[in-house]
Amino acid sequence: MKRTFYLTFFLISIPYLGLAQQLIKGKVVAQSTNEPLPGVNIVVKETSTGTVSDRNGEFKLEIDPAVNSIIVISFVGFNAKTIDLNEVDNLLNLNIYLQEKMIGLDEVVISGQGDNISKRRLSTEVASVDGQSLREIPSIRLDQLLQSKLPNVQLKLASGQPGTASIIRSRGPVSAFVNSAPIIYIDGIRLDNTNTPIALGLVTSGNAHQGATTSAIPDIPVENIERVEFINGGAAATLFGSDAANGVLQIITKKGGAEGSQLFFETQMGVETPTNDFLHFDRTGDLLYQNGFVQKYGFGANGGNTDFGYSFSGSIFQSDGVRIHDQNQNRRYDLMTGISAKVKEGIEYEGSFGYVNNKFNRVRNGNAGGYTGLWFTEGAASLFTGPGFNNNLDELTGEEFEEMKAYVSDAERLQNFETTINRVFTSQTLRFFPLPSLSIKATAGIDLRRQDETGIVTNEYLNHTRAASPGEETTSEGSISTFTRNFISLTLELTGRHRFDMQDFSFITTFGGQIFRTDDEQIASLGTNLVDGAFVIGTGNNLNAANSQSQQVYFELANYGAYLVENIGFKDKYFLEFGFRVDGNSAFGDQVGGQFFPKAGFAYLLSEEPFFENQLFSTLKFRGNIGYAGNLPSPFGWEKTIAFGTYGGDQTATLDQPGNPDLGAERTRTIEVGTDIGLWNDRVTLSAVYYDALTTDAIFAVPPLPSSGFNTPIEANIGEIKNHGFEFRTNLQLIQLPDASLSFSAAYNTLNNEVQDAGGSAPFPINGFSQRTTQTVVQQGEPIGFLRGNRGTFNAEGVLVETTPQQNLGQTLPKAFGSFGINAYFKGFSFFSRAEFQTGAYAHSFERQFRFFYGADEEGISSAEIEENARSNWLNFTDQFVEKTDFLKFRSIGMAYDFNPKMSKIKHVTVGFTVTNPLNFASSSFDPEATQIGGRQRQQGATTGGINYGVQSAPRQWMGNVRIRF
Amino acid sequence: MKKVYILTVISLLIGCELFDPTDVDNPNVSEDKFLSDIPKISTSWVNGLERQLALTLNQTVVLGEILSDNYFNNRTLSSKVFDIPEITFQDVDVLSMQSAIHRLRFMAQYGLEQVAPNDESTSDLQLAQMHFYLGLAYLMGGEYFTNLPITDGGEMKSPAELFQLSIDEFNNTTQLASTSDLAWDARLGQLRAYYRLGDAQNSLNLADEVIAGNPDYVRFVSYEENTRNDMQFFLFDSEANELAPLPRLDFLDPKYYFIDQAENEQKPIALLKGEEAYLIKAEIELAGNGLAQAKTTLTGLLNDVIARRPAATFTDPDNRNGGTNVSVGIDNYPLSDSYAIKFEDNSDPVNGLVLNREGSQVTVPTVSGTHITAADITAATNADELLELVYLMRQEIFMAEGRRVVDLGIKLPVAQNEFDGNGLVDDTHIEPQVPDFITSLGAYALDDFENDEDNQVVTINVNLNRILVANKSSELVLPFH
Repeated sequence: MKRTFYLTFFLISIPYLGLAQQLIKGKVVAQSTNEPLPGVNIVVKETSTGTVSDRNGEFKLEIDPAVNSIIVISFVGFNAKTIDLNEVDNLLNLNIYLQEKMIGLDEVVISGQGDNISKRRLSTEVASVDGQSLREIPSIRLDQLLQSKLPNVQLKLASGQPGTASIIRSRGPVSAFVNSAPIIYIDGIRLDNTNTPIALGLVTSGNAHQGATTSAIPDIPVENIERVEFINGGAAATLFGSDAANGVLQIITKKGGAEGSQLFFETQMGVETPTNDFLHFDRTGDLLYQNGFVQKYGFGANGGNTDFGYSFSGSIFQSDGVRIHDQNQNRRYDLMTGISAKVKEGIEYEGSFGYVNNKFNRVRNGNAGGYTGLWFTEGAASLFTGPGFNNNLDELTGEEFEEMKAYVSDAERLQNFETTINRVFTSQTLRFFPLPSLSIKATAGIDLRRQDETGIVTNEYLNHTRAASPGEETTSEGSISTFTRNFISLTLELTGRHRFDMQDFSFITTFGGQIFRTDDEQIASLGTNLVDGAFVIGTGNNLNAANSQSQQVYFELANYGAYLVENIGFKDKYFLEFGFRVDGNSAFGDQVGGQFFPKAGFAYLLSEEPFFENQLFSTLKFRGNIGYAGNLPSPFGWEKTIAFGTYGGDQTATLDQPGNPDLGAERTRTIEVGTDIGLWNDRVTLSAVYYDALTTDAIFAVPPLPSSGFNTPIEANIGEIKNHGFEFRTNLQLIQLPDASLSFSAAYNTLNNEVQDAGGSAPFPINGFSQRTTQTVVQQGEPIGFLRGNRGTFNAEGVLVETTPQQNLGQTLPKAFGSFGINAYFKGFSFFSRAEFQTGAYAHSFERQFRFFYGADEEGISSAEIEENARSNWLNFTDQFVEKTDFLKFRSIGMAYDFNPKMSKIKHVTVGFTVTNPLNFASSSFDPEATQIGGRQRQQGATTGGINYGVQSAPRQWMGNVRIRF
Repeated sequence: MKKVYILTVISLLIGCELFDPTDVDNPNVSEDKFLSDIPKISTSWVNGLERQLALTLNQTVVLGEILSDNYFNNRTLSSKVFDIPEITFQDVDVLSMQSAIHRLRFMAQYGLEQVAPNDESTSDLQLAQMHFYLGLAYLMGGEYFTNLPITDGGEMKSPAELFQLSIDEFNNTTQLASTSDLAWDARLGQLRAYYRLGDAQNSLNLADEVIAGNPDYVRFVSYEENTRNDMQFFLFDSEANELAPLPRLDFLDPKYYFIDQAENEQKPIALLKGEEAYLIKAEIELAGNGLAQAKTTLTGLLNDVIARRPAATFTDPDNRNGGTNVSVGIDNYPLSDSYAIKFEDNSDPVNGLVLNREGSQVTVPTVSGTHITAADITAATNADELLELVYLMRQEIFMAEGRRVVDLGIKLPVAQNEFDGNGLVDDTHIEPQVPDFITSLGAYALDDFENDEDNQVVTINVNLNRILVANKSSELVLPFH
């Protein structure tokens, strides 16, 4: 620090020694984020005259144009820039935009390393998305915000209803037991990442796994984010240990801003429209959907000085939703604040605190039976639901359609399913510097999430949807279900970092220990014979529901681990790293001790060799690594337990779960080799990685042998799952001018997944219905979650002659997937668009199968078959309703204009317009991403989607926004 | 200064006692806790066994009835192929049925081996009950399956071996509880096992013992709100039209029903009843050419037992449509008592077998019923004629109790999960048993009929009881012939 100060002083002093000095003033900002860059070197070319920018990115410099009029602006992690001052009109208001180096060798990351480290030293990849980029689209869901931004991650919104679970997967699924969602941290604190139906939760479908279900990911705080880092499993995640095999997503929040104070206010308004692209009947859209008004207001402030920084932002979001009668309305309040402070010499403090309140409504969905909007319309169940209709909606006369519309309108209006989330998060970090070369970081924090769900079924709803005749209306079948889930995770971590330099060698040693625990309590109460108009069960003499009962589950899990990693550098271009983590966990069986996860890797920067001076290659890095990470069994899954109940008024005891004292973590060994290439001063970058991930000791929740007498699956480490593939990324900086830029980025990933060994266990389903219909299944020799069902063989006339049961009807995992995007900038105008694609996956449409069965459409089945067997064979040729689900979906298109209004109070204004989910192209007749969520084995169970049935597509948003910085 | 550091460290260590983030307690009851800490566990275990028996019956009764000619399944998603009857070892219903029987077996074994030794208060009656459930599990295993293991992943046992094991367990039961009703349960269970083994002498001894000592005895299995009678759900409680009886059995349906509230009126299923002693005795007599004795026995059954069995009167709005029964056609089930039934093409029409379902109440026997009269029995001119009546009576008396399928000689193989995970199961164990004389009738033949609406006559496609008698020498059916 002192050295920089002297240097600055010296550099600034030099101009005063000369004559004919010219003062220049300006500001340096990052082009991608518009954030000021402090500490940037501004030097007159081929001289020692120069300065560095201050905390606001601003600088002053006196130069002698006669000596040299060209200045060079350089900063670590950014491409250097030269400016000829003779070509500049206003030397007192220079706005200099620096472009980040695309390879980012000197970018500092934290995830998977215990503490900050430069990317150049790593053998693994850390993908990061900055906060500015996250704000591109107006979504409030973290998973949607990250869509198409993480190059080897697929984030699919399985349902367009608010707060619902998505399917998130990087590379291939390493587990047939644990959901592929990564573990998620904010500022070093673990968050609830439950992304499947929970044990006791509101079901707006016939089964928890067959419709819209509330996930913990959509309500993760998204305000005040500085950046998000993502690491794949394997060596990158080894330090996270026993449950990091799916990768780790880490959110880093802002803890300060430029010197002084800055305020911003943002308003976004627009309309949400239903994605009707995949509807079979155009009229379904008219029956079920509306255009909803969306508004969001954000505000925040940040600032600080050398010893203190703060940043907070909050927002209010409200959407009417796209379901009629505002049945998908969604309201959310977000607040996040972060501070950093120098407590005293050698001790620094950082803290962050976030709060989210989210409330939304949903409608019956999926396999709900009775009246269910999409099954009624797209699934042709209108034939017999309510008064019964002609289920070919296209054939309805105007009058008939109006009759149906009136019926549907009331059936939708009378539904009452509401969810409220309250979530508080905090992270507290103290950093000590006992020695110049040693830092100790202590982090503690919690994520506390409470989810309250209420579902009310009124007698009026039942009478209407059943079209009860006058006099036969029910008055005693109303019901109320309430579900409360209290989730707390606690994280405690102590990390030490020591750096030792010896001549050309540098040694960075990271060591530490981490404890985390999760407590997950779920309570359900069901009140029956609820009187219409009441929305609580009541108590004592005031019981609105004549009968009530409750259920409760409690999951508790504690993990305690220690780690050590050594990163050795030589001449700042050869790097070796090796380390390990050892974990104990309450979910491991009592015969299982600590689980050991080692890793090792190398990185070599060929482009930094003197002999490799090359105009073409600006960066050339080779890297390779091997590492282990795990996935955890269920809390208490190893224990043999007894279940109790009642019968004849007395207690019963019976066998519950069989238990397994040898139950341990799954172990995924990943080998990666890759290269990062930068061409023409990193104008073109290319990254290529081959990975091979083998999960041994894969946990299968094995259906017990019937002869064992147990009903509950046994969790056992018996499987072997292999994933391998290539990952390519490129970034092309097509135009790179002071006031204009155009870049294109793309990612392409291949995926090969196979259950190599099922340990002798029988195939088991992870999504779907009974074996006679369709399921996605885990089976030896097949990819996880392939579609299994009946395959029909037809004769020349098209009549079914044979049905072969339990056939592989296609894999639901894609063989390749990726994303691409474009960013353009011209004098304050910016434009972006991002898209995702996949190929090689299949999915089944139960809606098509139902339309065939209920006679609304022939769905490609020959008339000879229908003549011969009517619709009776509808379940005997399920393969006829399976389709390839290649897709190309544009996630966002947006544009913005930044300008300085030259008003004293307002520093900066951004005006923008964004469309979310504007365009969809798919090979299937249905939405390839809208799927029954699955994960039917357990809470947070594995799923690959693959079954389309009564699920709403994610809506479109058309939003304008204004952001003003003060 | 040093002291300050030491004090700080000590106080921190003490403070850690207040906060242990790794402390985890399973809020549920582990096996160790159950066996060592909880008193009188045999009581709750035996009650759990009785409940398990109810759950096991839910499987055997519903699936057994669909597999037989008694009921056609109209449901969209439950077993559609059992009506064909088509049985594959991959079928989830085969798994459900096998699992349900094994669960009863293992719970009984666990009770005898783990629970009772850890509970000093265990009585002889409780031990006898555990032996009884074990005997029942073996008996059901032998009746419904071609082979079954009797331990986790163990060796396969044939029905004959399973019946012998059940006989041994029923012997243990009677020894431990000779004076309680449980002894009658065990005798009737044993009778069934000897009957299936074709052991005429032991069957006759037991049948006589029942007829002499407790002829109208019934061992019911109860159902309640939290342990519902699945058969009642499919026959009556469900709003959907789930199961439709063969029209000649219409007068016996529904055996289980409710009048006010389904959850409070779950009807019991008869597990064992005195009628069987008469029916088995008559069959033994017919096998020994004792036509007259058999007539006496069957008349005794009608007069001494069936006549005393209750019936219930209630409203049954079931419209009996044939659902997806393609060969019969939708809405083609007879709904009026003006219908007559022909048991096959060339037989005489029989009146009174179809009840009026719409607009009037129905009266249905709740334990046992048959339309066969003493006159019908007297009119039988030879042993085969009477034998056909015996099997018709068995069908009617055991209606909706899951027994008919066993009389038809149909047996399930072990399920795929057992095949995949049990090294002692081979390809021979995954073949179902369906007698050729049934397979040759064609798909859905057992539930098929023709409805002549003009003349109000329904003709049943096949007279299965006559076919059974015609094939009485088959090893798969009619064990005494």
